[in-house]
Amino acid sequence: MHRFIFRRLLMMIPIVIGVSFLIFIIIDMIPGDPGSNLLGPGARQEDIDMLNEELGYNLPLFQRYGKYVYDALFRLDLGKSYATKKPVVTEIANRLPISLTVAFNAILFSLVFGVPLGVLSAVKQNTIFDRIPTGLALLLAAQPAFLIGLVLMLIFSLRLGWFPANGVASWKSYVMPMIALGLPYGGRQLRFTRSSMLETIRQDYVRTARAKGAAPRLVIWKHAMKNALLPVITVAGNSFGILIGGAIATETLFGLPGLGSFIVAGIKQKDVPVVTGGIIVFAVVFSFVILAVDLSYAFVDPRIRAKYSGRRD
Amino acid sequence: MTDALVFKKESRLKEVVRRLKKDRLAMFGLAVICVMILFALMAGLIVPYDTALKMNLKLKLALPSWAGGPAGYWFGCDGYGRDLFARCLHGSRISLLIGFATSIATLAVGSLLGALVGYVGGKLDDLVMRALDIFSAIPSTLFAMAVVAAMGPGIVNICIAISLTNIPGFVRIVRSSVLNIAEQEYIEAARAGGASILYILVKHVLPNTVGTLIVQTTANVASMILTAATLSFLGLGINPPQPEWGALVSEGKEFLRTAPHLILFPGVMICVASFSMSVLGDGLRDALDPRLRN
Repeated sequence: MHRFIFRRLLMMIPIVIGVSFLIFIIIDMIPGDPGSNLLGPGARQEDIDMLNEELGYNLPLFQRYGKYVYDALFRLDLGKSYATKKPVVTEIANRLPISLTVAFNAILFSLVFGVPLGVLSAVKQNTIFDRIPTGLALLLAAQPAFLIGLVLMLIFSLRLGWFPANGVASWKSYVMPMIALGLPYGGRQLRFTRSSMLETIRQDYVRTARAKGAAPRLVIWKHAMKNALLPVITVAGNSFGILIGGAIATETLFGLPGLGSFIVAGIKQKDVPVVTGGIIVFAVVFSFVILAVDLSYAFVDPRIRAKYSGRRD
Repeated sequence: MTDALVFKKESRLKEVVRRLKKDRLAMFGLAVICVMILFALMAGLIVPYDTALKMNLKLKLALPSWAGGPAGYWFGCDGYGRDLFARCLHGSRISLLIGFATSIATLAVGSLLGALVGYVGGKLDDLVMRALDIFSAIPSTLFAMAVVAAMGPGIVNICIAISLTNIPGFVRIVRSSVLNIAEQEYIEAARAGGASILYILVKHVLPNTVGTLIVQTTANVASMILTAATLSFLGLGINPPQPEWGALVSEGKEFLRTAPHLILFPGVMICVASFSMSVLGDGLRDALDPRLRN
């Protein structure tokens, strides 16, 4: 088990290096240079050149990338933002918790309504208790998060004034982003739970449990649920990337100072350290989420645990 | 023998169509999406493109005609007094084009790459899959935004950016179904008969993944419409005066308090298109593989 975790952690290193290199090159291809972006269109060329030199942007691409990797590895320094001159590491440390709060709240919210409704619609297949949740799930999954966010904003902050439409003042600021992001995601969760549950309740061991006279409720919640939820966990973890994508639009809409909106601003200004550093952190978080999902799998399912602690692959 | 083969293919297709026809929700989705495509194709005949760009400050934020607004403006007007109906209609051309074009590009690249690495395996498989791991570790919206920023705005570049973010997932799906097929005896027979890799891939492997490909591509159209809308909403998409559903919602959010109809109409368009494509995808999945029907 420890070897499995260690191997997975090692595998993250090439991924992070690859991500940083890819993003570094793509951001470098954005037309313009940070000096003229920061000083505006009326600036003199000497000033622009001087600022670029100060930012270290005058060096060739590979030299800059080499310095970036060296600083990141040996000094744990992801550079300074071109625009604000603040260290990227501190900015990320301030902003990542906000993004993670939004994302995890949304996952939790989506599971809280997606899983029980999914189980219900599977157990009551082809009745009204199946049709309504399934239809609802389809409808929700077809919405972009920012649109739900706008509707919520219109109703609950502009009309009713219950929740703030902008910024992070208190826990109230997180409610609408959570719902906006969690609803479409929960729709997908419901559909997965339903199909996974339907598959499970047809398995032999479920029939056996029924045949030996276990209470129907017990069969569903104890025997079937545990197995049906495995794929649901995987889907929840693996779509974390999609969720972060939706989270970016939601953060921007609700004016939350999260990591996503930070990177979006960085892309628009060609702020290489901000974008590279921010995306590396997202990639690391994503890798850890996937690892956690795989481990939770092993935790629940002895067959998989045996596979992990056994020989390679 | 050839006759028997052809006859069998036809009957399978007919069977799928027959099953799909029975699925009322899927047929509804198909009908809606066909109507939308038809309207998008004929947009220029219904309302000239200039109408979608013509500003008229007298009509700023006008309500829809049926809600007491000026006659002839079914969806009202936006913040510059532009006809919202014309903008939604012409926007559908771009949104649907992006949705379908990216799905087809993903299908073409993803299925070939997935089939190749799944069938060949070994070092190539390792190399490609590790490279794809890198791509999938980057949040797709941010990756697409960075690519659009690097290549410049424009429909073709948006399509490339969105396709790039979706290819890794598609490759994985095709690869795993190819891994199953590659073990079958008829593939071994073809290989023993001396057929080339390309021949086996195109003639034996890919045809057996057609079901997966169709279902995945249909579902992709729905999610790509949403991705394109999100990109434009974040302000890195098409060029501003051009109408696109996500961009229209983004423009409308400035007037959320005073004129919510500005986000209502393009928003409903996004949902209806995406919903129709996903119910059609579900129906196709059930029709192609009745065992999956729950």
